[in-house]
Amino acid sequence: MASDFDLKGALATYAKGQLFDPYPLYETLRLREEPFWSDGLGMWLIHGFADVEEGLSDPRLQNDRILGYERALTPENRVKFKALNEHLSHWLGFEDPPVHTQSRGYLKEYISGRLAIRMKPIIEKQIQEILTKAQSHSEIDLITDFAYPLPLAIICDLLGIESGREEEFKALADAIGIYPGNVGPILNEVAPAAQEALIKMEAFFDEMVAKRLAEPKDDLITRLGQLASEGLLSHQEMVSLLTFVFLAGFGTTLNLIANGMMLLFTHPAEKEKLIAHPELIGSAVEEFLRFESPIQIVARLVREDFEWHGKQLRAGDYVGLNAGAANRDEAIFPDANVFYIAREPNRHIAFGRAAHFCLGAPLARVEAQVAIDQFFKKFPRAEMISPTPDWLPIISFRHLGTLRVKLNYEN
Amino acid sequence: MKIEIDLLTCKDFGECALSAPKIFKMDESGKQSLRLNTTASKVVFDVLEEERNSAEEAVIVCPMQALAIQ
Repeated sequence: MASDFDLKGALATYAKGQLFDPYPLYETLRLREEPFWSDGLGMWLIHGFADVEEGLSDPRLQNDRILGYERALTPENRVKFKALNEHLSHWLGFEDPPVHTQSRGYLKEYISGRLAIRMKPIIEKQIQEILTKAQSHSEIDLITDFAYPLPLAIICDLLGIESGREEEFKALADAIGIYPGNVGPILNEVAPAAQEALIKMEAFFDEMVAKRLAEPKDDLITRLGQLASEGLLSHQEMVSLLTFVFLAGFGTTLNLIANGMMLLFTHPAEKEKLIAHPELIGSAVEEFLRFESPIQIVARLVREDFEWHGKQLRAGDYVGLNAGAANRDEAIFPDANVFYIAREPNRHIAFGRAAHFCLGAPLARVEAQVAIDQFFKKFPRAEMISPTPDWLPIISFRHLGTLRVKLNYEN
Repeated sequence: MKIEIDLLTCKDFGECALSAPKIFKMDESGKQSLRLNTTASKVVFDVLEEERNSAEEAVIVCPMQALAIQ
């Protein structure tokens, strides 16, 4: 790393969400100081692969971060938005064992590796519809016209959202999702709209569950609705888990597909290699996950005071485990900053590790594999028009705003 | 078909035993039963071809990514 790297400047830009190539900063911090306390973000940052992997398995770093939300609310709002914090507390991403183990078990019965195999024909059918719609345009935006509709259709199918109501459901989930997506005093401002959406979401699911109990289908609403009616799951837990599955499974898959497409267009030799050898799609998707991990930072809260690598962590401190940085760690991945679709082995950490390992990983993989393989079979001569990647100013996620391409379709 | 398991990486979550019960078992104390026969960190063993689907499922759902098909 060049010694003239402006660490202070990079950190300030990073804290504002404006550092669109964060990898040199990640590397500098990993080699310099770990864990690193960021004043700008108010959390400990961890960048090394072994440390992130260790952190994800350490029970002293808990997922229950409700305390952090309560702390940010005024005393009056803490009472007013109690339902919102309770809703959040039942998300798998906010639970710890043993409660987490039980809730995860309810979802695992349905969201298994087998589900991905069973969903593959549905994914193939959806992607054909999406590509057929695209072919009548000379240019499309890969975000809105390609990476968005597939995961939306699939996650709604998996949940059992009635056809035609996907956008209504998504709008409610997004409105709730804004609340956990923020930190600090701004939570007081975003909480009212989130709680209002939560009330509508409960009514939405109540209506659907009633229909499914009368006429069961093979979907998650039926499954969790039955568990709730048997008293195994509270009504609140059911609404939380269904909302969580959508928010955990939609945007992440969208970003995987979008980031993969961007990587191929910005590495034309690798794109041509994939077109010539479509059997590489499996390892290519793993490399997309490693090179531009959709989820960069996974947050944890320190449960009890302890010392980690010589630093004193205090109960209640936030810790950011940076999977995106870990996936560029030279100690694990030779030529870590080289994008190489045939990379093997590739034990990346984009889906996390241990108790919270992504339940939807098999499904996300199949969606990305089918979508990207089929896209290049249909549009092998597509060209990127967007000059540079349009990263949104978000620290925790790698999320492109637009990705315009010219299809150059020949029938 | 051969499966490789890294017993140092494995943290006994037991997901493989749910996905591929004919290949993986957890012992009475909840540990990966392959630990009983070895002190090696990596174990490679043969699996019937008809178990390929469940073996592949076990590989992709392993929370520690400790499995590989060779």
